[in-house]
Amino acid sequence: MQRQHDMGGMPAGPVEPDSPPTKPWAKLITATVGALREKKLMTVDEMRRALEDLPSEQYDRDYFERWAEALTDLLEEKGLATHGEIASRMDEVRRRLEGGT
Amino acid sequence: MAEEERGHVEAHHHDHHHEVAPENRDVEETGHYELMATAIRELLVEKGVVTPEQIREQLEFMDSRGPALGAEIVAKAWTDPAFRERLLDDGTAAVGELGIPMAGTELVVVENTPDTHNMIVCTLCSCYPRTILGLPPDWYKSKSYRSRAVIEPRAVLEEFGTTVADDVTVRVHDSNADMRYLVLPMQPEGTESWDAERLAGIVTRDCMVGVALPDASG
Repeated sequence: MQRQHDMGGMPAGPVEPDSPPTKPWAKLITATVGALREKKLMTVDEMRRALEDLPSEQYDRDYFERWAEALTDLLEEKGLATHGEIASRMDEVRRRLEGGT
Repeated sequence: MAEEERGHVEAHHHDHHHEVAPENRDVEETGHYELMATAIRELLVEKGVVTPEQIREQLEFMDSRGPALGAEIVAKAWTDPAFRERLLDDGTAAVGELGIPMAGTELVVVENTPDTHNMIVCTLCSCYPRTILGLPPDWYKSKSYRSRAVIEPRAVLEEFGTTVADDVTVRVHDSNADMRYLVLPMQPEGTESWDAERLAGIVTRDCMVGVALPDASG
């Protein structure tokens, strides 16, 4: 079966040559993956598998959003951080930012 | 079991779901991923999984990569025939001479000639020579480019404003996690007397991905 990531030759719209600069959070996700790889806590192939396994509504997202989703799945799988921990920390970070501290 | 359920959901959504255009997403959703990136970093640092220094080193390395490095490689190849030969023979080793790591991947440099134009894609994900060119542009990661580069490369090239003559073969190279490509463009006529630094100035990222040609007229 041809899976969602295997899109070579599929029909698609025109290419938009425009490329806005990478956002800081996207660089942070990339750096985090890089650091985990350097520490041999995950491999490039595990990351690819996690990306390819995403449900299509997540796979179809922006590239780095997809990476963030795959990373959270992999962190849970490896027992490094759960989805629950990440969600509650996100709430905490939001409150901190809203509190202006 | 979870895998099967997920596969089922995936199949169900497949026909109905379309790529979410970045401009159609609201600010709140972008904020969601900013929070996620910060939350993950904080948790991993607190748990002692990674250190702040390791993250910072990664960010610094990322910021030190960019098309200027690739342009330097191309200009050296144009001005140093022995290097050009080594670059085409073993890209990984040749860029290693310049202190550029390939981070466990293999670099294959493909040379444009009067008969052949080369173009790079990664249909399966978005593999790209990041340690040379930096992070890939959005279009390289887009569904449109990934899908169409391999079936209608000339049409895609036209969308970049690049016309390749009918009697020139267009060769498309599909990258993967272990093998990255870099296009060595043809040196434009009239630049024979230029030094490497001036030559590097006309070698853009898009030239090295093979969707554009160096322009010496500017």
